[in-house]
Amino acid sequence: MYVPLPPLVFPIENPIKTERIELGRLLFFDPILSVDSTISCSSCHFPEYAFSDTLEVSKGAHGRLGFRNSPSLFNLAWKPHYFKDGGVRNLELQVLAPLLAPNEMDFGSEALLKRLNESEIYRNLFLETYGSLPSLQLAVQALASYERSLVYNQSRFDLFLRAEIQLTEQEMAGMRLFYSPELACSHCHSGVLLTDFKFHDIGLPESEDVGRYRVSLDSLDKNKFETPSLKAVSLTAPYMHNGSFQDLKAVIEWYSTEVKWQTFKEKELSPLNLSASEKEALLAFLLCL
Amino acid sequence: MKNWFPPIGLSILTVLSMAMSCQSNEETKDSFIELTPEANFGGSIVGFNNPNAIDASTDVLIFELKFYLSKIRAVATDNREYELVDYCFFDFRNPDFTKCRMKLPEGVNVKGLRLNVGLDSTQNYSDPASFNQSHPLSAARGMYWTWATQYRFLLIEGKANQTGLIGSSSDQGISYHPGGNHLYIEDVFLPLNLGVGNGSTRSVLLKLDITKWFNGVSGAIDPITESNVHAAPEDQALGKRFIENFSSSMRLQ
Repeated sequence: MYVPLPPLVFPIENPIKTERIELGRLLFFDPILSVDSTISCSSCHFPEYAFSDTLEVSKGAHGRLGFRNSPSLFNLAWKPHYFKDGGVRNLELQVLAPLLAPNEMDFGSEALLKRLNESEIYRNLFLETYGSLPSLQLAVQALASYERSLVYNQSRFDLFLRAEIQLTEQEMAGMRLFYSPELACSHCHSGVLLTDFKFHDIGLPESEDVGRYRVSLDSLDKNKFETPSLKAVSLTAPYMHNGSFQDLKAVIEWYSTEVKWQTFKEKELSPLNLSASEKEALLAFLLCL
Repeated sequence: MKNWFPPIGLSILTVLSMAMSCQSNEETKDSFIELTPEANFGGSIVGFNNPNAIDASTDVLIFELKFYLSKIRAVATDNREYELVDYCFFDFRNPDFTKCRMKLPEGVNVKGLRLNVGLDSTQNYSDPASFNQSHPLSAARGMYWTWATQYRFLLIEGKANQTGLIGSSSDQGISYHPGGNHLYIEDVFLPLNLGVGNGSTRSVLLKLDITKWFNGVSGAIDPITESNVHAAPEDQALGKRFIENFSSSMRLQ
């Protein structure tokens, strides 16, 4: 059954307006926001990859490596928290994080504002948009407005749900597997955005990145990461928080042979032991999300 | 046509001027304290960027020190408490943040200050982008860490090494950035007989003994092997010891 996306969610102090989105779009693609002017937001969030990138982890200013795989920026407006550990509570603060992080844009806010205010183009655009010169708050609001406008609901699956197209037999078979109680993919990849926004440990090898534990300081949250939305998942390889799976086949193989819950609260989930045709069907379905 | 605003305008101005004049007279009676932090090593006042001994075998050099104090209260001789300011921010490298001025309650005999180290959960929940650049809670202060921690309560950067070796390739960088509501230290009492305000501003030194950061109420911290506190879960135990030691390193003079 087709369930439309809910109305766009935005804070009262940052209402959605076309001119703000447009200013945010310019900032998003402008390397002026990084300390060495080498990268923009779009350097790690390419439109053609659903606003993610193709690297395991992205490079920031000065060539410094980040520590997580770049996520898609589609449908951020409805997220209850940001980053794979949920450590940021709203989109405006999310925007601030990469601007200030040493391994991303690495920009002190004073230097950033100086640079924006030295630009006649941005001075004029901020004046036209907000009636005042560039400030950190306005730059963050504009970027958040742009990101909030990145709505994606035109996949083959969306069109199918709206009864505008038919899926192939193989895609239909994959869909039935996806929503079956045996596989229970939709236990976590649920709802209109195909995520429950909760944090889970699926038994990936432990690394320095401890996930939700970093935020909650509760050891039960160790290695838990937020369920990613599967919207446009075909475009966002590589996969998992650290980009350790190069393609969807590898992801399906993981769930088929190795996945396991490692927490005390979740139900046990054994490897799915999928047949070759089931794997192909699941892949076909994932590709149309 | 001439209007009749000028005479009324003049009257308003006169009244305003009288009111401001009264206010001005009132202000001159107010008493203030101006709190200025001063770092020292076991009592010896030193500038930053100089190595100093914290014990018989270890030297430390500090080149950056920033911190928040909050809910600063005057404690009267009858033990009543009077709120002075919500928070103060200090940054030893930024001349705009080397002092914090507070108005003392009138007619109260003050025997000391009680304060918290860090920011309370409401202050800590602030959006750093919403403040102007000169505000203590602005992102421009470099104290906000977007993930979970929110504001770092202390930010200390420096180097450590064995005695006499600072400046060599074996220097250990030290970086203590404790933050998070769980590390908020409440109700630190700092005695100082300020008496009853006499209508002037009294300068008070907030003396920070750096040796106590590394050997204080919560035990010894070896800056060479325990050199970093950031947001990671495994840093929190050390962060707690460090901020407790920091809190106990303060006294007023």
